Amino acid sequence: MYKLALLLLTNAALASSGFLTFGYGDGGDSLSSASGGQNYRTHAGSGLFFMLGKIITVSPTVPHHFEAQLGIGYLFQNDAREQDSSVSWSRVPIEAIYFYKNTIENFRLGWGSTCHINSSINAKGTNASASTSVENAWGFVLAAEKLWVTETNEMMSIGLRHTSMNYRLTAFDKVVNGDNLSVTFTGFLF
Amino acid sequence: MSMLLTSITYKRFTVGFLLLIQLSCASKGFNRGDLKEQISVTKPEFNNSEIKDAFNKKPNLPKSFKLAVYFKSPSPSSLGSQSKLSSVDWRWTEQDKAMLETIAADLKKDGVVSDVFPLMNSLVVDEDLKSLRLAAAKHQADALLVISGAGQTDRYINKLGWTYALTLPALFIPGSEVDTLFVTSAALWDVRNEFLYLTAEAEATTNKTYVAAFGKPDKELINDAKTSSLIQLKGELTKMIKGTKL
Repeated sequence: MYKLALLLLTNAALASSGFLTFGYGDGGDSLSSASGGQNYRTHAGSGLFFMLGKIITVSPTVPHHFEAQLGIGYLFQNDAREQDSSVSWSRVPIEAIYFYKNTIENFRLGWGSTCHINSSINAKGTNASASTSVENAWGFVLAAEKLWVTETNEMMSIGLRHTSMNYRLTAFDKVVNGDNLSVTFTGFLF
Repeated sequence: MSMLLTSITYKRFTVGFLLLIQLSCASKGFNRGDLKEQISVTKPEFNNSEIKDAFNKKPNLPKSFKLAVYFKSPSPSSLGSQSKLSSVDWRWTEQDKAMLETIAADLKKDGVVSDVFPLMNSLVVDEDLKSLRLAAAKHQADALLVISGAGQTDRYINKLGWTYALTLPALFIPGSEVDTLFVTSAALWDVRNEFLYLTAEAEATTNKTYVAAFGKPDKELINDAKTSSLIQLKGELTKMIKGTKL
């Protein structure tokens, strides 16, 4: 068993590359409603994010190619409409997405799971009562990406991603829906 | 309601995906044109004077001649790194060279050649025929045998490959296949006047079915096909040299 795991890890290390994704998502319940009706507009699924990690080739076959993408990033949304009054909703997503890649039509379809850790709403000023920590949350991810190769031989993609998850706001003992749709832009690092 | 919609979306996505992946599983085949380009040492020029010149060249090897053997370095594929086929980084090993040295020993025994020696890569600036002839002439060789090779692998999924969509089967279902092709070629040239005495070509293809997570790397597959191809080339070359009036 130990040898099998070692062999798999060695294979994975040999057939891996990196990626860097930027994106923006929108959707989910209003956080201000869930946290008592403060004056800010942030939705549970919204935010700007970046992810980086590794892509491990599972099957380097053409045109049907399979790969696993493991990443960690930072996802945040800030509402600072007045001086000294802001609400910041942040989380650290860790995700594992399994992709089918078509190497002729140049697209990827993926599904997987994500875990948001270290999530919190940090508020100050008039909305200070909105502050709360948020429990770690698991969710499902569906992704579709169109790939292209630049003249300098770098691969990039633009895609859509649907994430389905719920967050529990500890201080208010409420569950909010964080389903969202994101637009992503990914650069593949060979 | 939202959970139900999400569940339907995921089910549709899965069914759609499985249909899509079943549309084609077959191999896309090899690009032999690219392989031929990689093993060639001359680029043909199609004009009348070239053809006339070729006819004017006459064989003039002494009865027992000195033979230089050169193993052409692997050429990069003209298809580029984004090719759907993988042209692999490989090299001639000592075993490969030793395999062809046995022909030299046979020819020496039969008195066809007086001496056989390898032409070192470090002595050759470019690998076109003129540069190779010049390097051979510096060794006082009468004839030059150029051995070249090129390989490709073509990986694809078979009918079981669609199960990889479910992730875990990639660890135990043999849904992947790889075809490997290696082409070797040998050409015997006169060092003095570029007369072409003979050419021989051999190719070997292998097919392997494997579990996605445990596939052999391209390099190993190419080496297996290369050995088979060289064994065939050796037989072909011996037959031709002995059957040709040099």
